[in-house]
Amino acid sequence: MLALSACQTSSANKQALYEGPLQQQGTVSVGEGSLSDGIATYRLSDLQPGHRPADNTTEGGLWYVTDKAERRVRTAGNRITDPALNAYVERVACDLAREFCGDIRVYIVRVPAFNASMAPNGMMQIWSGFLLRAENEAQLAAVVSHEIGHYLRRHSLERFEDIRAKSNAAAVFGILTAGIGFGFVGSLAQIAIYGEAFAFSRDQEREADGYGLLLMSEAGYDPREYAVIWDKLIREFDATLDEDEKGSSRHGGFFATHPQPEERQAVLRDLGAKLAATRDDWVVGRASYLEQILPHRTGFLEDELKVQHYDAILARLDMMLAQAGEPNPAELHFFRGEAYRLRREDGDREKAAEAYETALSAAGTAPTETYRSLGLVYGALGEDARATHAFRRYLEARPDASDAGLIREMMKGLPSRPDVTS
Amino acid sequence: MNPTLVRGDDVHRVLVMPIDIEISELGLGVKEPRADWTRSAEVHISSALQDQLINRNIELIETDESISLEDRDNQVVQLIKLHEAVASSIVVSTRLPDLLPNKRNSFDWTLGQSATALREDYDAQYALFTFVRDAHSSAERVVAGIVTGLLFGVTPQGGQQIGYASLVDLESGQIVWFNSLVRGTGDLREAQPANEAVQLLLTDFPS
Repeated sequence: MLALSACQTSSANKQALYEGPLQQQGTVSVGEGSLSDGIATYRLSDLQPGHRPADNTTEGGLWYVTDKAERRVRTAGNRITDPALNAYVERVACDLAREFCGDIRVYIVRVPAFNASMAPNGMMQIWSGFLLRAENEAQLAAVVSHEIGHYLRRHSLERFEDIRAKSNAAAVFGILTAGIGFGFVGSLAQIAIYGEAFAFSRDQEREADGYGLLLMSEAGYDPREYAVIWDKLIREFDATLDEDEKGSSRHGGFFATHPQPEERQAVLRDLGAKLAATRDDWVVGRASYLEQILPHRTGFLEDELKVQHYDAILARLDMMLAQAGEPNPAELHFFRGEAYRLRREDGDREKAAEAYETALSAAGTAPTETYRSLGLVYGALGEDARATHAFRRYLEARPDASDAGLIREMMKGLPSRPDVTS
Repeated sequence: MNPTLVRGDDVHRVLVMPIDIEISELGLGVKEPRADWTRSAEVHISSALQDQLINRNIELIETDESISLEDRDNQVVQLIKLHEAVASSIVVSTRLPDLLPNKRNSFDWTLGQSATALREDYDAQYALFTFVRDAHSSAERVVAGIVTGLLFGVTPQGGQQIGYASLVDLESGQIVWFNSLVRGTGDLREAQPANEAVQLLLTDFPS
C-alpha cells in the first residue's frame, strides 16, 4: 500500500492531465475561441483510422486476445441486442469518434452497475447500470467520449508496457535482494504491481476525462453535464454510508481504479463551465435519450433490486423523480416501494405502502405488481381489509398471473392471519 | 477416462472444431500474448491433427467459415461455449476428484441434445474439440534464470504447455473420449514438437 501511494500524482499535475486534451489543440486554450478537430491534434500520431497492429508486436498480441474476447461478448447471453437501442448508442458513438467511427464497436451488456469499458482493439462495453443512471444524451456522450479517449491514446498498450516494465524491475529487484533478507521489500513491490493491474491507471482516467469533455463539446453536447454524472454518483454512493463515513475515501470495485469521484466532479465542473461559456446552443438531449431507454428501464430497475443495495437505489430513484420531464413517475414510485419492502428495516413496510399508494396515484403507469406488493405489505402490517382489496385489484388486472393461485390462498388466510414476521 | 467407441460404421466423419489456442511469452512477471506465435502454432497443430487422424479411417470435416462464430443465436456458437464449460469441468474433476465425487468413477459427460445441431449442419458423426495454451520464456527470463541459478541454485519455472482434446458423439451429445496434456517442454511454434504434442494428446484416441 505504501508503494501504491508513491505513484500518486501531485495536484498540479492532475489538473494538467485533465486539461491536456483541451490544450493540445494548440492555439485554443480552455474558455476561448471555438473547438474543432481535437481528434486530429490529440490522437497519437501513428494511430490512423482502420489501424490494425502487426502480429509480431505487443499491441498485436493484445488485439489477438481481445478479438477473441470480443467474440465472447458478441455472443454473450447478457448482451442487449435490441436493434433500436444499439443503433442509437452507435450513432452517438460514431458522431463522437468521427473518422474513427469504424474502429469503435459498441456492446451494451446487462450489468446492474455504473461502468463502461474500452478494450485495446476498439471494443467498447456499456453497462446497463450506466444507461439507467444517465439522464440525457449529453451524459451518454460524456462517457462514450471518455472511452474513445482510452482508445485514441492507446491506454491499454501503455498500461501493459508499464506493468511489464515494473514487474521486470520488481523481479530483478527480487532476485538481487532474495539472498540478503530483503524478500519482504520484494513482496511489497509485487503488491504495488498487482494493485495497479486492474485496469487503466488513475492518470489515464484523468486524461480520458479531459478527452471526454473535448469530444462531447466538439459534437455540441453540453460539457456541464459531465460533472453532473459524478455529482449524482457521489450522492448515490453517500446514501450507502453511515453519517460518519461520508466523504471518506472509497475502496474496491469501480473506485479502485478510478480517481476519487470528488476530484473528478470538481475538475470537470470547473472545466465544463469554462467550455460551456464558448457558445450557447448546447445540446442536452433528454427527450431523445429517454425515448430509447424507457423500453428497457423496468428491466434495468429489476436488476438493481437484485443487487440488494437498497440505500443506493432509493437515493437514485429520488434523484430520477426530481428530474424535470420524468415520463413515468408511477413506475419509479413502485420501485421505491419494492426497495423499502425488500430492505425490511424498521418502518420500511409503512414507507413501502406509502410509495405504492403514491405510485397508483402518480402520473404514468404503475405496473400491476404494485397491487400485489401493496397487498403483501398491508398483510404484514395487519391491515387485512386493505390487503384483501389490493390483492383483489391484482387478480382483476392479472387473472391469469402465474401466482394467482398463491394470492388466492393468501387471501383466504387474511382475516385471522397472525403477523408472524413482526 | 478413455472409453472405447462402440461403433458399426466403417469410415467416421469427424468435424474438427476451430482450435482454441493461445501462445504467450513469459516475461519476468508478465505473460504477454503473442499473436504471431499463436498463428504459427495453430497451423502446425492443425496439420498435425490432419496427418495423424487421416490414418485412422477417419474423414475429417472442416467447419464452414461462412457460419459466423459471432452470431449469438447460432446454435453452433452456443454449443462451442457449452463444450468449453463442460470440458473445463472435466479437467477440474480429473485433477481434483474430490470436488465432484459422483464423477469419480464414471465418465458420463454430455452436451445434451443440442449437439445434434452440428450433426445436421455438417452431416458428421463426431466433433473434435482442441484447446491449447503454452508460454515460452522471454530472453530476460532466461537470463534471470541463469543469474538465480548461479546465485541460489534455483531457476524460475519456464512456460507450461497445457491442452485437451475431446470427442463428442453428435447423435447423443455424449463426450465419448477426452484427454488432457500438461508438460513443460515442446515448442509448438515448430512443426516437429507440435506433432509430438498432438500425438500425446491423441493417445488412446478411439479407432
